[in-house]
Amino acid sequence: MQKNHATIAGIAVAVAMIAGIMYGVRAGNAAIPVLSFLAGSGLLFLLKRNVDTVIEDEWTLLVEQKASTMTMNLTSFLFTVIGLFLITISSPEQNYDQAALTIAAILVTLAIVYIATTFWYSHALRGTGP
Amino acid sequence: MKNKLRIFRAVHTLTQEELAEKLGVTRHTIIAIENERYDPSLGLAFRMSDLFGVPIEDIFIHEKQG
Repeated sequence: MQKNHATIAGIAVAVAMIAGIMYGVRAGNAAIPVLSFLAGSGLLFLLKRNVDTVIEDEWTLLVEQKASTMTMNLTSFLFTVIGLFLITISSPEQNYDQAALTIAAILVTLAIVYIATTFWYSHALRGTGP
Repeated sequence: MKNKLRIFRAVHTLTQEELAEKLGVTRHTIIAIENERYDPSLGLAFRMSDLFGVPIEDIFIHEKQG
């Protein structure tokens, strides 16, 4: 499959996946978003695998790793700030215990995700590092 | 690390796209190497060496530190 065709098909799959997730959320059925996400991810993976031209190599993986790590750090920081803001203003007596627990949970989750992604990229880039 | 990839590519009258295809990498990688923003892996350096028929040290120039 050519890169351009795969891109068009990928966009169509992504749109269908988002529509499925939105429909599931509106319908109040948790299974539909999960199934949509899994099916969409599977289809995108298959599309990417069937592209004839090289679309991923050592350089693009390095750039992808840096970009995804930066995105993860920024997103988690923003979610933490918003979450803590909502927790502390949600009740008349400010709930600092819950805020502390939230920070702890986020830090543990971040550490796990960070270790997992570092492990995955070091495996993917094995022997190709700068 | 400095390199002469652009010169060797010109000598062999290859476009960045053609060179990328022959080496099995993306054009972005060739651009990054030519602009000395990225030092390729040893495997890719050997593939370049084989393609141009010259030793690696003719393509890449190691600058000793200190």
